[in-house]
Amino acid sequence: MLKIFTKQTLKTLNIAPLVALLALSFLSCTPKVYKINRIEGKQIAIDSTIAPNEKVAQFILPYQEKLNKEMEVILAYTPTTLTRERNEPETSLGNFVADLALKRAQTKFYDLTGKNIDFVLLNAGGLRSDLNKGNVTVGNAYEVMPFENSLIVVEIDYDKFLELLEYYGVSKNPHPISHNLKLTFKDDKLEKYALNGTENLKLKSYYVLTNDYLANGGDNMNFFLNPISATEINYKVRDALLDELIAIDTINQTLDNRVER
Amino acid sequence: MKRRDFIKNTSATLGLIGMSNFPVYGFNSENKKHITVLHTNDVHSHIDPFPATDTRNPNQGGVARRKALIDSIRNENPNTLLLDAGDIFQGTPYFNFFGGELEFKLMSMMGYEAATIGNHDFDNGIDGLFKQLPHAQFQFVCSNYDFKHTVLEDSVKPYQVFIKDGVKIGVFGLGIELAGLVDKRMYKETKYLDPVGITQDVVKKLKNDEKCDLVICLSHLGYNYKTEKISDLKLAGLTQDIDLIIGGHTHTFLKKPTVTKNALGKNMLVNQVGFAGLNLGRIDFYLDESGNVTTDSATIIV
Repeated sequence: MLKIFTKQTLKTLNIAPLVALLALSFLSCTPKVYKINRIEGKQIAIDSTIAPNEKVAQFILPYQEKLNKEMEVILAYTPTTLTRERNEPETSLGNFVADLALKRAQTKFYDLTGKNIDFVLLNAGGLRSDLNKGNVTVGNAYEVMPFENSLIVVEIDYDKFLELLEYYGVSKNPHPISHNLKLTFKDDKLEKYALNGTENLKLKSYYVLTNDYLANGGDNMNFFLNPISATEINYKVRDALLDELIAIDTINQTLDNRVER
Repeated sequence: MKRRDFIKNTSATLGLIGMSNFPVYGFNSENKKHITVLHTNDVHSHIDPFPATDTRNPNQGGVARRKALIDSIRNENPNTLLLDAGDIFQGTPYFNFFGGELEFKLMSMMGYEAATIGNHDFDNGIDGLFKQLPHAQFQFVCSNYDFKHTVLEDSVKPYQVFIKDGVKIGVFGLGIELAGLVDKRMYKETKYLDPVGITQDVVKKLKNDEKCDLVICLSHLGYNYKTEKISDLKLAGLTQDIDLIIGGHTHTFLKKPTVTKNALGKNMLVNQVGFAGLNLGRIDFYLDESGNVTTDSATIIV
């Protein structure tokens, strides 16, 4: 450091003796203290205008190849294609995911709270791909569910529950619900509902299993905002899907008219 | 690679910097210093760019590109510090299959110098994090997690002091409250301590004992909340002597770094750059020998 200082100053100013003296005096001095004069801040987008570093790209390659192999691992079989068709009142893929979420989250929720989940409501947009007929791989599960959303149980009162039903009717989207909730709409208006086989069951509050995206008001599901309670169960929707696929051999999911329009 | 290519998306902030065309002083002077701080947060195991078919961020991000960008900035200014504000783990199958090994190895290749710990970095448990530490050639800093009686006790430091071109830079870390966010079985005996009290102590130490010229907080508290929950903006207003808070957790995309006031009413910066390695934050500090600076507050251009 000291050396550089002396050299550079010598070159530019040619006042060697003085500089040497100064340099010497620095030796006995405490380190310099610096103060900020100016700060500039910004962010730089990392996009296709930047050519990738070749060394890093090569380093990633074997991991990428190994990962691709892992993604090809077959977990289950589906005799039919499970679809997420947007124009139907319900979808086979939606039903499958909602039901497995209920099944897999129920014990976790019960362990945490001693309560039971009343039903499931997820969003149709959360399912990003169909599950094609044939073998179902790890990669397929990631395609269906690329998001990192976690399951959460939101407790809402009866009024919010009615808001939920009204939302469902108007939205026309086949948002996945669990098999134990049956909804009947006519001209987008609720005609009747049944929960666990009981028609128009009125409860003080409803424990709804959903994902954290919706619980925070995503897809304008505002009835989930400011709930009576919310219980995070630290379980990703995709992990629930993967666990279910590992547990079963063959997917046996049909439409069961849980939503009628 | 020309610098212009990298700043094309920041045209809103570019105007002032570009037009004024500051003479580049500081490089050849012992009195004037230029320190560049680069930072990421919540990269969440995003190694590859998002696929071209991605609806939100098509063909954006990617570690190999980030490395190229970092190298070009280091060529421009060797006195560059590279930091990460946590949640390195979880978000792509790379983490599920390799447990964070690749993330740490790549960060080491990119030349990261310090990182703090995010809640998702506990996703394979404190033991899962500890297991990957040999792959991290950079220092983890966190001052408000008490790791006594855990495997991380000797690995994580409250702060680290870096010296760049004679300028002393103190970097300390802050983590978010884990209870209710992370399963206790994952973080085990880790104790969360009040970030505000800890910050006051650490900053005092960095300023008075370590004689730091710059103090940077690497925070995973989150940018801002509607509730009383402690956040980067709240922390800024409750403390003093921090020059820059680099935040994370809330995946906040800011159009530009936030200029805010500390407890003494002095301007300082809070920044966060979204998530998934879509952006690189860049803060340039121009310093002068203490006696040459007459004003107490620096000019901030964002």
